[in-house]
Amino acid sequence: MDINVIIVSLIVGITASIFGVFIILRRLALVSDVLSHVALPGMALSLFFGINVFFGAFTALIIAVFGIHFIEKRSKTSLETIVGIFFTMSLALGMVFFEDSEVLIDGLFGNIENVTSLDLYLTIIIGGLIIFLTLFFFRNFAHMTFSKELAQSEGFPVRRLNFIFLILLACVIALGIKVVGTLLMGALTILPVSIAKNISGSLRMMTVLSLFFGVLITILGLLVSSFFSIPLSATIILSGGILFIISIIK
Amino acid sequence: MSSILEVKNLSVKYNKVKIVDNISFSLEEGKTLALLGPNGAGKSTIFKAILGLIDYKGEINWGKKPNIGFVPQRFDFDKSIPMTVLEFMLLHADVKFGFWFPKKTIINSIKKALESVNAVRYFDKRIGELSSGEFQRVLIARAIFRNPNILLFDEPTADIDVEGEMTIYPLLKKLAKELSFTLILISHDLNIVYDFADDVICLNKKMMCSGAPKSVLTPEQLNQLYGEGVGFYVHHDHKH
Repeated sequence: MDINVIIVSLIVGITASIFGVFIILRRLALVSDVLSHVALPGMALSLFFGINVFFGAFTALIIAVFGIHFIEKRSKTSLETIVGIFFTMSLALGMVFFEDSEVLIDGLFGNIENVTSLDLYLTIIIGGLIIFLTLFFFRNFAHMTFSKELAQSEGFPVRRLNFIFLILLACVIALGIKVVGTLLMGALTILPVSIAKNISGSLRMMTVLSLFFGVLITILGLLVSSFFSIPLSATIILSGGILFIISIIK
Repeated sequence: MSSILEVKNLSVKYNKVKIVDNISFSLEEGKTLALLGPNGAGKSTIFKAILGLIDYKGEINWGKKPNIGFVPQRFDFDKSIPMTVLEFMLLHADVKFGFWFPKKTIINSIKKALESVNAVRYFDKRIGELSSGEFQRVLIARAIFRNPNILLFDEPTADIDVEGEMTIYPLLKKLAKELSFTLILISHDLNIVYDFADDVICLNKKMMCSGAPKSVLTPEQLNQLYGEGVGFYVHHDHKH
């Protein structure tokens, strides 16, 4: 197996498992799942213009995240409804823009076979940045997650932190597209954390265990994928799913 | 005694509706002030204004640089979050104390704060596993941990166990004396106000009365505040 594939997969696994802590604790599992589909039209447009899909996916996600945020503030429509509308519109736009259905399938399920050196550098830089910023703001994010009201009363800049959180969320989802695809990136951000949460007694332990399981399911996925020639995205998510089931059996 | 806080003509509007209307009071250092009034009277809003969380008209002036400790009313949180009492305390601590690898001195001062509210045994426990009374003690420890010179205590409206409620006020009063902080408490319980506050402000959006509880909490005043038919029983023989 190509070393680039291993590096990119591991960085994506690590990033998703660390940032995923807040996706789970803020109960955004479904939002992140839905958002991961929003990247599709952006990816289609980047293919059309011949640029790296990360940029298209990231741009589409940022537009969606802030669009949802803006509409939620300005209208009486519920968050669920707005996210649902963005989600289905993105899928529809994705279908319009993707001329080649094979490319659409790659976008949905990931295709890590052709990792370019640009993909590798982008993953290292963006992944490294996400990990650094998540750890840097960890205490702030944890405080905001526990109680927004309490955090505000203690002078934490909740609105600014939320803004940073949303940008990081968009980055994390865009980052995983190459490895597991849009359809499964939502799962990669929630599986390691959910396993860790089932067996952790503290937030710090949960984060460390989530990182451990993120790496473990990526390695398991890589091994199974190369032995049995099954797509990597499927083997990563299935490894995570099986570990999750084991973690809830007491 | 010098005044630590002076509030002048404080008004707060929310969606063009006046929540707090022209409230003025001053608070002497070391005293306990109670804000009393029915639900929606603007008590918590005054706390928010003092904490600087909302826009207001009027003046809030401090006699000395405030270091505010705040014990909020019960708030919702996800009990499945695996956060320990120590971690919960560390969220509040100064950033230089660290969250991942807190210094021994910080852990000791957290233990000390927990000890002072008889809650040190919860140190390693998950927040979600605490009873409402236990959690309130942790909240108080968290508020006094950074040595505040003023403590705002917002009384929970419901779900505190009776035993917890009966012991929390003597404890607060004791801590205020020991750690020399000034206390402002929001209370719904007239007996608590009567027994523990030096001064009381009765509120119903406007200021209805102010002064020492014994002189201003008259049945007439309370009828005006809560409406006719509200029973008021002061336990004159209540000892603490």
